[in-house]
Amino acid sequence: MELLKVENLCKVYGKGENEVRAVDGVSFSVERGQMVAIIGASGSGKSTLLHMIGAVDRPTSGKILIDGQDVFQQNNRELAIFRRRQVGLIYQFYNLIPVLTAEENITLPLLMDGRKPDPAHLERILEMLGLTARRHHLPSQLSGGQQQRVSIGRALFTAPQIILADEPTGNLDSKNSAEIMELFRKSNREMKQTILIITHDENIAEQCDRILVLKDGKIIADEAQAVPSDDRGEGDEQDAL
Amino acid sequence: MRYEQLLASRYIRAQKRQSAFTVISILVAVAIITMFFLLYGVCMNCVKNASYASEPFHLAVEGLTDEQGEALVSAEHVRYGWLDRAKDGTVTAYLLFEDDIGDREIWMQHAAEQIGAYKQFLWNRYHWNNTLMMLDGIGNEGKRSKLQIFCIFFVAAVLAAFSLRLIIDTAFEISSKERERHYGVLQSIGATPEQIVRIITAEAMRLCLIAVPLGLGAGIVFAYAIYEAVLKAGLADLFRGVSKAKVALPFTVDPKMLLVAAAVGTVWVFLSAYGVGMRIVKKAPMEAIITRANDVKKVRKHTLSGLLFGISGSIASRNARRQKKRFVITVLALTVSITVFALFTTLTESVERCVIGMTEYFTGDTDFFGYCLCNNSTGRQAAESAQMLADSGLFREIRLNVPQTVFVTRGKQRKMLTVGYVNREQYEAMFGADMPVSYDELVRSGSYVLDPASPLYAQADLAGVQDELQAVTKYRSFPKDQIKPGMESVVMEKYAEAEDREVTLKIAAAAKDQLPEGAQRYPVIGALETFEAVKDEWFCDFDVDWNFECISAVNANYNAADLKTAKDWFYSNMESCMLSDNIYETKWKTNRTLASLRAGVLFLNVLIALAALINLLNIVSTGIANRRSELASLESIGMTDRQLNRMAVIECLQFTGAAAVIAAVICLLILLGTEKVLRAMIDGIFLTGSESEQTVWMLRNMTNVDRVKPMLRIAAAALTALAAGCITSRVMLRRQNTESLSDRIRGTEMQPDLKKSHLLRNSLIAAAGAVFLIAAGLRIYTVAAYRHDRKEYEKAGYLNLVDSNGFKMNVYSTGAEHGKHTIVGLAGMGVNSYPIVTAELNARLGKENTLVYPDRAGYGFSDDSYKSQSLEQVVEDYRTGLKNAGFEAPYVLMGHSYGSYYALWWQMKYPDEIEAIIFLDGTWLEKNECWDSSTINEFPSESDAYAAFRRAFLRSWFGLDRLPADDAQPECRYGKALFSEEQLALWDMTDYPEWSAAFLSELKNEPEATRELRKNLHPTDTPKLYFSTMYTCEEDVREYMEFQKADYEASGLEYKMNIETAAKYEWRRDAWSYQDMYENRLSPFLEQCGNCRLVSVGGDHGIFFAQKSDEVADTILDFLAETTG
Ligand SMILES: Nc1ncnc2c1ncn2[C@@H]1O[C@H](COP(=O)(O)OP(=O)(O)OP(=O)(O)O)[C@@H](O)[C@H]1O
Ligand SMILES: [Mg+2]
Repeated sequence: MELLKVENLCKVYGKGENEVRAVDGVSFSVERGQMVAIIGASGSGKSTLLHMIGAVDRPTSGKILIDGQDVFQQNNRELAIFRRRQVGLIYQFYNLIPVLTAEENITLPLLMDGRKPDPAHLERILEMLGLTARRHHLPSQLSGGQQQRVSIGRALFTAPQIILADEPTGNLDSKNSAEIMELFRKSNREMKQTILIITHDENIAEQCDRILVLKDGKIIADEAQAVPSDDRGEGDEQDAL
Repeated sequence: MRYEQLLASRYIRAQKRQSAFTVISILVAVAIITMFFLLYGVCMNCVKNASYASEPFHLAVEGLTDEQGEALVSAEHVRYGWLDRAKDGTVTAYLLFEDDIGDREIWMQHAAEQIGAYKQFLWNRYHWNNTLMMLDGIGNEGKRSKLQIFCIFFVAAVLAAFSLRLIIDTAFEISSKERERHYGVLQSIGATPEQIVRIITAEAMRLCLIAVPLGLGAGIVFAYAIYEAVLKAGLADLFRGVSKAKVALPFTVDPKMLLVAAAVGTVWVFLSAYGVGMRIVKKAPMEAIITRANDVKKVRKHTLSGLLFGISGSIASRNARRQKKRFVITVLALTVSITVFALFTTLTESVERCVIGMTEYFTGDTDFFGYCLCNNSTGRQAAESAQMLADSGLFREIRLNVPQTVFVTRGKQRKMLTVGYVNREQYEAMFGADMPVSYDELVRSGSYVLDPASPLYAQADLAGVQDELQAVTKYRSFPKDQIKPGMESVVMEKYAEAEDREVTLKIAAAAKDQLPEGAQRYPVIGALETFEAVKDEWFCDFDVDWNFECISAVNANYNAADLKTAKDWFYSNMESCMLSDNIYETKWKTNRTLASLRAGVLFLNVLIALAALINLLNIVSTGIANRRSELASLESIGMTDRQLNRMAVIECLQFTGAAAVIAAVICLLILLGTEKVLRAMIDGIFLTGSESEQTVWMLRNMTNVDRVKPMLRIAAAALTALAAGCITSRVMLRRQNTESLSDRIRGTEMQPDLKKSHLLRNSLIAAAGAVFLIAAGLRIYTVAAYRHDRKEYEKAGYLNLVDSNGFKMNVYSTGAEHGKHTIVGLAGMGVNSYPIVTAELNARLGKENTLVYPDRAGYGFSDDSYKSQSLEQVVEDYRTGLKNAGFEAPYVLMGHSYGSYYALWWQMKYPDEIEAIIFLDGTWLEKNECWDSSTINEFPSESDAYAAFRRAFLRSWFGLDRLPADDAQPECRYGKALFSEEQLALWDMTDYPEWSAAFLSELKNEPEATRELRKNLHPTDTPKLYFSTMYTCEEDVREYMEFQKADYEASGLEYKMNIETAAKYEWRRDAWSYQDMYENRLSPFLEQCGNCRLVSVGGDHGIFFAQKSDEVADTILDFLAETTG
């Protein structure tokens, strides 16, 4: 079943001489529960594409449909609710709120929704991200990798339908990277989350169902791949169900 | 905690400096708004009180009969009215309206018809007090003008408020700019626009919580400071001293005004925050995230500062471009304050110059105009009066002139001509260096000069006259036997027989044609000596008055003391020198008013400068703080401290330079504009078209505004701002330098400290505690001082506390133990020292009688009482107190002034207890019921008066009345000549506290007491003796003044009045009104009391029984012996 559909998406920066077509007529669709890797050279428009899917940036032209609904047809308030409940966005440059502690940053989307965070759930996420000891620290007191993990925690905490991750493991060592990927895969499996990951890491790309390759704002390759790991089977079963 | 609150508190703490700046900005803005509102209140009060002081009525109708007056006073809509008898026997009714009367002319017409005074209406014998009608919003016109005034104020307030919005806006703009990125992130993780706005406004409201109360406080302080400054700068002099001015123009804080100010401030902050929030949510989150506060939008390769200052300059100029809006706002704020600063003094100066110049144009340099009077019945001549002027030593220059009318024949017409006979001073003032012939020559030859500068010169066509002028005079003669004492020469001139006489005037010369025209010039001028020589032959057979124009000996510096001296002199010499125009007073008032204006505007100026400075410092310091890591990067790649500092200085230079240039341009425009306006004013209003070139030139010259000084001021202000900016940036850079480079490069801009701070709460508690402690301290001091005084009073033998109805009453007694009579003294309103000032009287009366002085509640050292002090209550208190002190009826009541009310009431209620009543100048019942005790009369309305009383009571309760008055000028001590130092000291003691609750209540009860008494008063047989101090002859006036003089001299002050003439004058002026009061008010009152003997004694109402104790005591003893056996 198709969850996300991108139609002829364009994003143009600047004018005239300085014009940059960061995303240039991109179309694709993603099934529910798919895990997609987006790769491409630096400056090829990956982040821009992801931001538009996460509805934090407006396309110059084209459409994004989620569950068949045009995202940008919604008004600002609906968009905000959409971002809050449906998407978890992990930024390349973390974008944490500097005046809030790690824990507060993670629970913020839920607080904004007017809900109380479940302490056990918070405990589990902090545990998984290895941040338990650092929960009361401000972002400026954390290392780059730790900040990245906080931003991952923030995206995962509300268990959204779609997770958009912009180089989530860019600052992590291989052991940590593997753990994070494991986390993504687990929630992909358990909650049927759809996950889009931008990465420069071959290993990570290979763990995904599908790889999109971008160049100069255009998709130049879109390959599904057989998943090496055994837990794919389960996912397929569930898919079949 | 809600997450909005969490974020808000964190941001505030993370950006302490910026929050502080924002708080200060809001504070200043709220303070200015508060000040504005409060001063509006004070101004309105000022106008209102001034108006009540001079014309305390809405409408005055003259020429009525008594019945018409009574009818008018009780007409519909009239709150309160009173009648005043004029010299011609008619009455004038003064009315204050209770509520709106609609169209006032219609009301008047209607009322006139009803009371049968249509004539008065037709002849316009009524006068609307427009100011008061406006202030009270009575009548259609009144309401309209009140609305107009309010609109003007409102527009001004709105303008001010908008410029204040700029301050608040800037503060928010600056602090939120840096955080736009964070708001973008919040949006990207799902914050709705409302939530973003709510977060920003939550923070703003938190800051408001601190800033608004502080701002209100600061506003009150500012307003009070301005009020004080304005009073001290000159306004107070118009009211004869600061403390008197404060009574007339009270500074009151209206809670409503504070509320409005707080609301305006809060709304402004909210709107500012809301605006910022709305701007952020309009962007897509990603836009907000990537537009860092400090990003350069466009790069210009070559900039001026780059050229001038190399790489530091280049970077600096890009920094300015980073935030156009911020740059613009800062420059704007700076420009406004620099402009105001530069212009204000110049403009007030030139307005001042114009106002003073105008006065001088019409009056010359003269300070006093008037007449040197002659007296044909005694034979005193005007020359003697002129000599008195000269002998007084008060005047630097005395110009004398006697204008006489003559006629010349021109063709078939007879033209009127004025010949001015002037003395040497006047002659010199007229011609200065351009004298056609010397004055001595004029006197010697008895000739005349012609003055073309006089408007009459051209009219009478004197141009062709040479050597001689043929003219006709009106010779007036007045029969000697018809001259009455005090007959004025003007009157004689009017009724004298006139006949024509042909005369020839020898013309010595004509003055130059180019002298400035003036109001006071004569076409033909002769010497005063010549006048004396020819008067009897040419003009009249009696003496005439001379005109004088004097210049004060000290006119360089107009002041109240000299004014008073001069006025006193003229007052006591009014038989010989009569003042007609007191220009000195006008000039002095103008001076004082201008000085006040200057002080007030100066203060505003300071505030505006403060706001601008705060803005500048905020921008400079935020600019540096935000670029913490960036600057560190620059340093890490090798930029030196010097270069960094240079960069910062160049940035400040950009702000101040731009502001200075714009300010200079605006200044020039405004200056030229004002010049135009002033000129237009002079051309349109003052010049009539017939003035000579020179006059016009002189007037125009006055309006020339200095253009160099403002430019210098701009430079100075800009340099000050630059210096302040540079110091701030240097301090900021120095502070940052204490951290390591890597910390600075890595560290993000914000690090709140996560500990909770209770600073606000603690400081509020501390402030409240301090206020409480001070109040408690004052109260303890007050009570201790009171106890101490009471001890002293006891030592002097005056204290004898007994229980009365719920309070301790002091019942002092003296004289014989079981005397023939028990005389009970009932004090007048507010007279705490009754037992002390009657000491001499007591000694005489006490030989055979017992004297008792019970102090009613709140008086002397009797306790205060919070019961309503009705007649009934006070009399019952007296009775209980006397009984408990062991004094049994019957009593002889001796009521002084208002004490007579209690005496009358007592006697009516318990006739058996009262043997006799002695009124010491007792208060009589007025026909009109009103609250017109002398104290209340000073206030515009009852509620104003009671508010003032309540304030005074609070002051007393905290002992503030014991502090010395702030303008303790040497004053004449009342009774100084009569009483010993010990007595005066005791007297002073009894006067604290100045205000008690009981006294306040007594004052409030006065109208009711009057009504009550009037209703019940009926003649009784109880013998009564009334002492009156009302003047019955000129001798009484003189005696009163002698007593006053004695007090003055005992106090070490000079008594400046000439008693002889002043008494004569006063008696001549007011005798009829005393007569009227005697016949129409006092006598009917005494008849109403029944069996009352009237004795007239001179002296002062308050202490005549001490001044004339022999006479009073003897009369009392005789009276008692006669009537009671
Ligand atoms: N705000 C902007 N204004 C102008 N051009 C921009 C802006 N944001 C991105 N670009 C341009 O758009 C192109 C795509 O940028 P994007 O950040 O999507 O690249 P990326 O694929 O994520 O690169 P990387 O792997 O280095 O993160 C780049 O060439 C960049 O220069
Ligand atoms: Mg990227």
